[in-house]
Amino acid sequence: MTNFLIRRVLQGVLVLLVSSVLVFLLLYLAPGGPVSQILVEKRQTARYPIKQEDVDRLMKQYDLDLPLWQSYTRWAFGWPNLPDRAVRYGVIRGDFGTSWRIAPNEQTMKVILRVLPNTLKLTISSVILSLLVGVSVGIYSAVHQYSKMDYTITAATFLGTAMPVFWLGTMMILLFSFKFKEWGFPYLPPGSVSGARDYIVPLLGTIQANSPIDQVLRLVMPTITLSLLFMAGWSRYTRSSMLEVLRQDYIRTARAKGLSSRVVISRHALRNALIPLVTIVTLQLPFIFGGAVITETIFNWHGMGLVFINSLFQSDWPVAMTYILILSALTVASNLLADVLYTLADPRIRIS
Amino acid sequence: MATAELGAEILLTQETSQFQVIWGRFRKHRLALIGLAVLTLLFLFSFVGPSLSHNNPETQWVGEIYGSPTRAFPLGTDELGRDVMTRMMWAGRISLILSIFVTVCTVMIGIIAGSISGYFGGWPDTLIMRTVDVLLTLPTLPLLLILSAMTLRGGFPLTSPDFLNRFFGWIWGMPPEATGNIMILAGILIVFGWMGLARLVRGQVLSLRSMEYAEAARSMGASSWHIIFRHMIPNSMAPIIVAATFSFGEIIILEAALSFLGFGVQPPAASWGSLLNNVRDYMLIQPWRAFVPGLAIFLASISYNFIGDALRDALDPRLKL
Repeated sequence: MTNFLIRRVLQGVLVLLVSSVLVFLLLYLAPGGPVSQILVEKRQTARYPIKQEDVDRLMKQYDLDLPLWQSYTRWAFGWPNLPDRAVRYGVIRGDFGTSWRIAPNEQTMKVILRVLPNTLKLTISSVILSLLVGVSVGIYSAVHQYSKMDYTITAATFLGTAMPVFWLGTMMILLFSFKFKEWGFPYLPPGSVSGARDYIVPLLGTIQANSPIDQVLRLVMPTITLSLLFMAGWSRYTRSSMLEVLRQDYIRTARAKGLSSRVVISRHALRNALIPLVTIVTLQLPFIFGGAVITETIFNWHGMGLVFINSLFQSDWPVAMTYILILSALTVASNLLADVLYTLADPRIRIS
Repeated sequence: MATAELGAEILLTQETSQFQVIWGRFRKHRLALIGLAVLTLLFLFSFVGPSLSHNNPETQWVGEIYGSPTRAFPLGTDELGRDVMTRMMWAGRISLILSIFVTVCTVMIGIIAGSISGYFGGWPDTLIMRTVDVLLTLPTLPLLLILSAMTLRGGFPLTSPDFLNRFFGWIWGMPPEATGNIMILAGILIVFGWMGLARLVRGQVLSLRSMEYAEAARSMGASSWHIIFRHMIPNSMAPIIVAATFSFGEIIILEAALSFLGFGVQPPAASWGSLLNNVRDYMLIQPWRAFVPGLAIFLASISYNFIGDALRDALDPRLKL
């Protein structure tokens, strides 16, 4: 087990290293070089014409005039230290570089971590909602296999997996925010993490801006939008793994002992059926963060995904690169965690 | 007499071809048949529709801005006075054809990489599979977004072959040089889309290469490539076709997501996703303009899903989840 873990950790580090090279190379993919977009804008807005030396200074400031490998090692490891250049500590010591545009000269990590609480609020509530709905629906489906309800649920999961979330989100805003308000129903605020001014909702009365109830109301639609896909997927996994378990001998034994159906399902079947689900949920955590990009954009939810999109619109590549690196690290970590959890949860798996 | 009749009856029992067997199993899935019908309608709408519609997607009707649905403009007109219905048709061509093109390319790359990896093993296997691992570590949607953001502003040095540009330009009704951005988008989707298929094919080939018929072919002196192309790939076709069918739907959604966020198909060209992006500012005055393109994406995607699910049953009952 220890050997296996050490090997997996080393593999993970290697994969991260390679992906960091790839992410770094992305920077050079922009036609005309990484700063081309900035230059275009500067040319339009600057009071004085941009001279070649200005371009050179910009390139030097961002280490872009160095040979590629040096530029990379300075960015990744903070080595070598060059005279008349800023000291870089490297990604390895938590220095992801500074933002170019969104928050000039501020550490990209800081820019992203500042909005992390908002993203966590959204992702955690989505995971909880998906698990609650997905698992219970999956169990029901499995226990009542081939019933009318089972078919209905199956059809619903199809709808969930094929639904374009950006459309669902837009339609929800249209219906629950604007049409409901128009018709005088209790409506949901259309976006943002918290409101700027008080508003009146029928039945609920005046909602104070930034009060807990305001925040909860604003969380409802983004959470549903983000969790729909995972809800559908996880209910399928729960169903198939539950069906698998229900066929096992020990379930028959438990039933033969005269245990009630409820006890058999909750104590014997469910516990074993949830083992593969733990792995799936862990493996998909990075996808929830990645999927939050769309949800956050629709609902103007000021989280990591929205910061990422803004960085793309403003050609703030260091922020975008940091975001991608964070997600890659999250993927590697969740893969590792899934392996560990799987072995811990299921004693049948022996790793030599 | 009776025996003769019986004999004739036996003789007259028709041989069922492979296709008939598969179609027989496929037909049992009512949802898949509906999916097939809906998809056919979507294709007809996009390909036959424009010749029935007397409007041009680019024509700006003066004085018809933000028009409500009328007989002449069934879905109204947009902020520039263009007919939304006609734009939907042409956008459908881009959405539908792009997903097919991308899937065909990813399937081909996946088949080649997967079969090399699975059949030869050794260092090619390690190289390909580690590449797959690394690429799968990078988050798909953000990565596609950053790549599009960097390349779509124009001036990207690589371009697709001229014959492809001309072919797609002809389908999409635009000059060949205008297809550049869409082809870059397709390229990005292809480069980061083949990994799942490569893994699938590798798994198939790994289990097939130790089969007796592969052994037999090898003992008769067949070359590795002969075995791969004549035995391994044809025998892995069932899961590949299923995966490809699901992929059509996935690519439609992915392209639409990119376009919705503003990093996909760029104006003046439009796909269903970018129509949806375009309408975000006018959503409150023309809500149907947000509803219809999304509905088309949703219908296409779910139809492919239903068809894929039925194909999984029809092509190989063992594959059933």
